[in-house]
Amino acid sequence: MCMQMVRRILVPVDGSCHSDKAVGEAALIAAAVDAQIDLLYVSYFAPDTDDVLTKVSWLPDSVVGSTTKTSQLILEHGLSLLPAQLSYKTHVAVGIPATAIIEFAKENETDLIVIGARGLGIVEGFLLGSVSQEILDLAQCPVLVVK
Amino acid sequence: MGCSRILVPVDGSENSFKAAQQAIDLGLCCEAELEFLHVVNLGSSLSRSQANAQQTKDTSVLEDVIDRGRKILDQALDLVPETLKAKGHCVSGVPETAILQEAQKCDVIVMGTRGLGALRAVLVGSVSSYVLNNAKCSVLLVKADKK
Repeated sequence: MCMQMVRRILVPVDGSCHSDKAVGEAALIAAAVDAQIDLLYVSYFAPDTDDVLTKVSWLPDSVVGSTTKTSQLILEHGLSLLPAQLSYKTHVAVGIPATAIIEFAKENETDLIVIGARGLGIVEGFLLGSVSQEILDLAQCPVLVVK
Repeated sequence: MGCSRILVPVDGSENSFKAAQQAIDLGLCCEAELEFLHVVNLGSSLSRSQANAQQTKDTSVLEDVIDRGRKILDQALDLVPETLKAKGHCVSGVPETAILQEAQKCDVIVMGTRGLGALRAVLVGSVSSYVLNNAKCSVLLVKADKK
Protein backbone atom coordinates (compact mmCIF):
# COMPACT_ATOMS: atom_id res chain seq x y z
CA MET A 1 0.00 0.00 0.00
CA CYS A 2 1.59 3.19 -1.16
CA MET A 3 1.05 6.47 0.63
CA GLN A 4 0.00 8.04 -2.64
CA MET A 5 -2.89 5.61 -2.67
CA VAL A 6 -4.15 6.69 0.73
CA ARG A 7 -7.66 7.89 0.01
CA ARG A 8 -9.28 7.64 3.38
CA ILE A 9 -7.81 8.27 6.78
CA LEU A 10 -9.79 7.22 9.82
CA VAL A 11 -9.33 9.23 12.99
CA PRO A 12 -11.33 7.97 15.98
CA VAL A 13 -11.97 10.91 18.31
CA ASP A 14 -13.03 11.07 21.93
CA GLY A 15 -12.28 14.66 22.83
CA SER A 16 -9.02 13.83 24.61
CA CYS A 17 -5.87 15.82 23.96
CA HIS A 18 -4.30 12.73 22.41
CA SER A 19 -7.10 12.45 19.89
CA ASP A 20 -6.64 16.16 19.13
CA LYS A 21 -3.02 15.46 18.32
CA ALA A 22 -4.08 12.54 16.14
CA VAL A 23 -6.41 14.83 14.19
CA GLY A 24 -3.54 17.26 13.66
CA GLU A 25 -1.19 14.61 12.33
CA ALA A 26 -3.86 13.03 10.15
CA ALA A 27 -4.55 16.47 8.67
CA LEU A 28 -0.89 16.87 7.68
CA ILE A 29 -0.87 13.55 5.87
CA ALA A 30 -4.29 14.14 4.30
CA ALA A 31 -3.15 17.49 2.96
CA ALA A 32 -0.04 15.96 1.42
CA VAL A 33 -1.89 13.13 -0.36
CA ASP A 34 -5.29 14.73 -0.84
CA ALA A 35 -7.10 12.12 1.22
CA GLN A 36 -10.43 12.35 3.00
CA ILE A 37 -10.47 12.36 6.77
CA ASP A 38 -13.15 10.35 8.52
CA LEU A 39 -13.68 11.53 12.07
CA LEU A 40 -15.41 8.82 14.04
CA TYR A 41 -16.96 9.08 17.46
CA VAL A 42 -18.06 5.87 19.12
CA SER A 43 -20.70 5.97 21.79
CA TYR A 44 -21.71 3.14 24.10
CA PHE A 45 -25.27 4.34 23.98
CA ALA A 46 -27.58 4.95 21.06
CA PRO A 47 -29.47 8.27 21.06
CA ASP A 48 -32.73 6.47 21.71
CA THR A 49 -31.60 5.35 25.15
CA ASP A 50 -32.39 8.82 26.34
CA ASP A 51 -35.91 8.65 25.06
CA VAL A 52 -37.81 11.58 26.60
CA LEU A 53 -41.03 9.57 26.74
CA THR A 54 -39.55 7.18 29.25
CA LYS A 55 -39.43 9.37 32.31
CA VAL A 56 -37.71 6.81 34.44
CA SER A 57 -34.02 6.68 33.68
CA TRP A 58 -32.02 4.23 35.69
CA LEU A 59 -28.76 5.79 34.54
CA PRO A 60 -27.70 9.29 35.59
CA ASP A 61 -27.57 12.05 33.00
CA SER A 62 -23.83 12.34 33.34
CA VAL A 63 -23.55 8.83 31.93
CA VAL A 64 -26.33 8.68 29.36
CA GLY A 65 -27.12 12.38 29.16
CA SER A 66 -27.62 13.43 25.62
CA THR A 67 -25.37 11.25 23.57
CA THR A 68 -26.30 13.19 20.48
CA LYS A 69 -25.08 16.39 22.09
CA THR A 70 -21.85 14.78 23.29
CA SER A 71 -21.07 13.30 19.89
CA GLN A 72 -21.82 16.61 18.21
CA LEU A 73 -19.54 18.53 20.54
CA ILE A 74 -16.68 16.11 20.17
CA LEU A 75 -16.96 15.90 16.40
CA GLU A 76 -17.25 19.68 16.08
CA HIS A 77 -14.16 20.05 18.21
CA GLY A 78 -12.32 17.62 15.94
CA LEU A 79 -13.44 19.53 12.86
CA SER A 80 -12.21 22.79 14.34
CA LEU A 81 -8.70 21.35 14.22
CA LEU A 82 -8.83 20.63 10.51
CA PRO A 83 -7.57 23.20 7.99
CA ALA A 84 -10.16 24.58 5.60
CA GLN A 85 -9.22 22.88 2.34
CA LEU A 86 -9.34 19.34 3.64
CA SER A 87 -12.12 16.97 2.64
CA TYR A 88 -13.71 15.27 5.61
CA LYS A 89 -16.74 13.41 6.91
CA THR A 90 -17.95 12.92 10.45
CA HIS A 91 -19.45 9.70 11.73
CA VAL A 92 -21.02 8.35 14.86
CA ALA A 93 -21.12 4.68 15.69
CA VAL A 94 -22.58 2.83 18.62
CA GLY A 95 -20.87 -0.03 20.34
CA ILE A 96 -17.62 -1.10 21.86
CA PRO A 97 -15.07 1.45 20.63
CA ALA A 98 -12.34 -0.83 19.28
CA THR A 99 -14.83 -3.14 17.56
CA ALA A 100 -16.82 -0.29 16.04
CA ILE A 101 -13.64 1.39 14.80
CA ILE A 102 -12.35 -1.77 13.13
CA GLU A 103 -15.78 -2.42 11.59
CA PHE A 104 -15.82 1.08 10.21
CA ALA A 105 -12.34 0.70 8.77
CA LYS A 106 -13.33 -2.52 7.02
CA GLU A 107 -16.63 -1.23 5.65
CA ASN A 108 -15.18 2.03 4.43
CA GLU A 109 -11.89 0.70 3.05
CA THR A 110 -9.83 2.85 5.35
CA ASP A 111 -6.24 3.09 4.17
CA LEU A 112 -4.70 4.46 7.36
CA ILE A 113 -5.88 4.76 10.95
CA VAL A 114 -4.46 7.59 13.03
CA ILE A 115 -5.15 7.28 16.73
CA GLY A 116 -3.91 8.86 19.93
CA ALA A 117 -1.83 6.61 22.16
CA ARG A 118 -4.19 7.23 25.02
CA GLY A 119 -7.69 8.54 25.22
CA LEU A 120 -9.85 9.79 28.01
CA GLY A 121 -9.64 6.66 30.07
CA ILE A 122 -6.19 7.12 31.49
CA VAL A 123 -5.00 4.41 33.79
CA GLU A 124 -1.81 5.09 35.67
CA GLY A 125 1.12 3.15 34.32
CA PHE A 126 -0.40 2.22 31.00
CA LEU A 127 1.38 3.95 28.18
CA LEU A 128 -0.90 2.70 25.46
CA GLY A 129 -4.64 2.80 25.90
CA SER A 130 -6.73 -0.33 25.65
CA VAL A 131 -8.63 0.89 22.60
CA SER A 132 -5.46 1.81 20.71
CA GLN A 133 -3.91 -1.51 21.64
CA GLU A 134 -6.89 -3.47 20.37
CA ILE A 135 -7.06 -1.48 17.16
CA LEU A 136 -3.43 -2.19 16.56
CA ASP A 137 -4.04 -5.91 16.97
CA LEU A 138 -7.08 -6.09 14.72
CA ALA A 139 -6.44 -3.48 12.03
CA GLN A 140 -5.60 -4.63 8.55
CA CYS A 141 -4.24 -1.29 7.42
CA PRO A 142 -1.28 0.62 8.90
CA VAL A 143 -1.91 2.40 12.19
CA LEU A 144 -0.20 5.63 13.20
CA VAL A 145 -0.14 5.91 16.98
CA VAL A 146 0.33 9.49 18.08
CA LYS A 147 2.04 10.18 21.37
CA MET B 1 3.98 16.44 13.28
CA GLY B 2 7.24 17.99 12.27
CA CYS B 3 8.02 15.01 10.15
CA SER B 4 11.54 15.73 9.09
CA ARG B 5 13.34 12.60 10.31
CA ILE B 6 11.89 9.14 10.04
CA LEU B 7 13.48 6.19 11.80
CA VAL B 8 12.94 2.83 10.10
CA PRO B 9 14.18 -0.23 11.99
CA VAL B 10 14.71 -3.14 9.58
CA ASP B 11 15.54 -6.72 10.46
CA GLY B 12 15.38 -8.33 7.04
CA SER B 13 11.88 -9.72 7.48
CA GLU B 14 9.24 -9.23 4.79
CA ASN B 15 7.23 -7.12 7.19
CA SER B 16 10.18 -4.81 7.80
CA PHE B 17 10.61 -4.22 4.06
CA LYS B 18 6.91 -3.49 3.79
CA ALA B 19 7.38 -0.94 6.57
CA ALA B 20 10.40 0.46 4.74
CA GLN B 21 8.26 1.08 1.66
CA GLN B 22 5.64 2.74 3.82
CA ALA B 23 8.34 4.93 5.38
CA ILE B 24 9.55 5.94 1.93
CA ASP B 25 6.01 6.94 0.95
CA LEU B 26 5.62 8.94 4.14
CA GLY B 27 9.01 10.53 3.55
CA LEU B 28 7.96 11.58 0.06
CA CYS B 29 4.75 13.13 1.45
CA CYS B 30 6.55 15.06 4.14
CA GLU B 31 9.90 15.63 2.40
CA ALA B 32 11.62 13.95 5.30
CA GLU B 33 14.96 12.27 5.74
CA LEU B 34 15.00 8.53 6.34
CA GLU B 35 17.24 6.64 8.66
CA PHE B 36 17.24 2.88 8.32
CA LEU B 37 18.46 1.10 11.40
CA HIS B 38 19.56 -2.49 11.75
CA VAL B 39 20.26 -3.78 15.23
CA VAL B 40 22.63 -6.67 15.60
CA ASN B 41 21.52 -8.56 18.63
CA LEU B 42 24.70 -10.25 19.66
CA GLY B 43 23.00 -12.12 22.46
CA SER B 44 20.97 -14.12 20.00
CA SER B 45 23.82 -14.57 17.57
CA LEU B 46 26.38 -15.93 19.93
CA SER B 47 25.57 -18.72 22.31
CA ARG B 48 27.41 -19.00 25.60
CA SER B 49 29.43 -21.95 24.39
CA GLN B 50 30.59 -20.07 21.34
CA ALA B 51 31.53 -17.08 23.44
CA ASN B 52 33.74 -19.31 25.53
CA ALA B 53 35.24 -21.05 22.55
CA GLN B 54 38.13 -19.99 20.34
CA GLN B 55 38.40 -16.29 19.74
CA THR B 56 38.77 -16.63 15.98
CA LYS B 57 35.41 -18.39 15.65
CA ASP B 58 33.73 -15.60 17.59
CA THR B 59 35.13 -12.94 15.30
CA SER B 60 33.86 -14.60 12.16
CA VAL B 61 30.35 -15.02 13.58
CA LEU B 62 30.34 -11.36 14.48
CA GLU B 63 31.58 -10.38 11.06
CA ASP B 64 28.94 -12.53 9.40
CA VAL B 65 26.20 -10.93 11.43
CA ILE B 66 27.37 -7.40 10.72
CA ASP B 67 27.78 -8.26 7.06
CA ARG B 68 24.22 -9.57 6.96
CA GLY B 69 23.08 -6.36 8.63
CA ARG B 70 24.79 -4.24 6.02
CA LYS B 71 23.15 -6.27 3.23
CA ILE B 72 19.74 -5.67 4.78
CA LEU B 73 20.43 -1.94 4.98
CA ASP B 74 21.58 -1.90 1.36
CA GLN B 75 18.38 -3.66 0.31
CA ALA B 76 16.34 -1.05 2.12
CA LEU B 77 18.36 1.85 0.70
CA ASP B 78 17.86 0.43 -2.80
CA LEU B 79 14.13 1.03 -2.44
CA VAL B 80 14.62 4.74 -1.87
CA PRO B 81 14.07 7.03 -4.88
CA GLU B 82 16.74 9.62 -5.64
CA THR B 83 14.59 12.52 -4.53
CA LEU B 84 14.67 11.31 -0.95
CA LYS B 85 17.58 11.54 1.49
CA ALA B 86 18.26 8.31 3.32
CA LYS B 87 21.03 6.58 5.20
CA GLY B 88 21.61 3.25 6.87
CA HIS B 89 22.99 2.56 10.31
CA CYS B 90 24.03 -0.70 11.92
CA VAL B 91 24.37 -0.88 15.69
CA SER B 92 24.66 -3.74 18.13
CA GLY B 93 22.61 -4.22 21.23
CA VAL B 94 19.15 -5.08 22.39
CA PRO B 95 16.83 -4.15 19.48
CA GLU B 96 14.15 -2.28 21.39
CA THR B 97 16.67 -0.26 23.40
CA ALA B 98 18.80 0.61 20.40
CA ILE B 99 15.73 1.67 18.45
CA LEU B 100 14.52 3.97 21.24
CA GLN B 101 17.99 5.42 21.56
CA GLU B 102 18.09 6.34 17.86
CA ALA B 103 14.49 7.53 17.99
CA GLN B 104 15.48 10.41 20.26
CA LYS B 105 16.74 12.22 17.18
CA CYS B 106 13.69 11.39 15.08
CA ASP B 107 10.14 12.63 14.67
CA VAL B 108 8.44 9.36 13.84
CA ILE B 109 9.26 5.67 13.82
CA VAL B 110 7.89 3.46 11.05
CA MET B 111 8.15 -0.24 11.71
CA GLY B 112 6.48 -3.56 11.10
CA THR B 113 4.45 -5.34 13.76
CA ARG B 114 6.14 -8.68 13.34
CA GLY B 115 9.75 -9.31 12.54
CA LEU B 116 11.96 -12.32 12.20
CA GLY B 117 11.65 -13.39 15.77
CA ALA B 118 7.90 -13.34 16.17
CA LEU B 119 5.59 -16.32 15.88
CA ARG B 120 2.85 -16.26 13.26
CA ALA B 121 0.20 -16.16 15.95
CA VAL B 122 1.57 -12.99 17.45
CA LEU B 123 -0.18 -9.92 16.15
CA VAL B 124 2.29 -7.41 17.48
CA GLY B 125 5.79 -8.65 18.25
CA SER B 126 7.68 -7.90 21.44
CA VAL B 127 10.09 -5.38 19.91
CA SER B 128 7.34 -3.42 18.14
CA SER B 129 5.21 -3.52 21.24
CA TYR B 130 8.00 -2.27 23.48
CA VAL B 131 8.98 0.50 21.07
CA LEU B 132 5.36 1.57 20.65
CA ASN B 133 4.79 1.74 24.40
CA ASN B 134 8.00 3.57 25.24
CA ALA B 135 8.67 5.88 22.30
CA LYS B 136 8.15 9.56 22.94
CA CYS B 137 7.40 10.19 19.28
CA SER B 138 4.61 8.82 17.09
CA VAL B 139 4.92 5.32 15.73
CA LEU B 140 3.48 4.14 12.43
CA LEU B 141 2.96 0.41 12.57
CA VAL B 142 2.70 -1.57 9.38
CA LYS B 143 0.83 -4.83 9.75
CA ALA B 144 2.29 -8.03 8.40
CA ASP B 145 0.46 -9.60 5.48
CA LYS B 146 -1.76 -12.49 6.50
CA LYS B 147 -0.46 -15.78 5.25
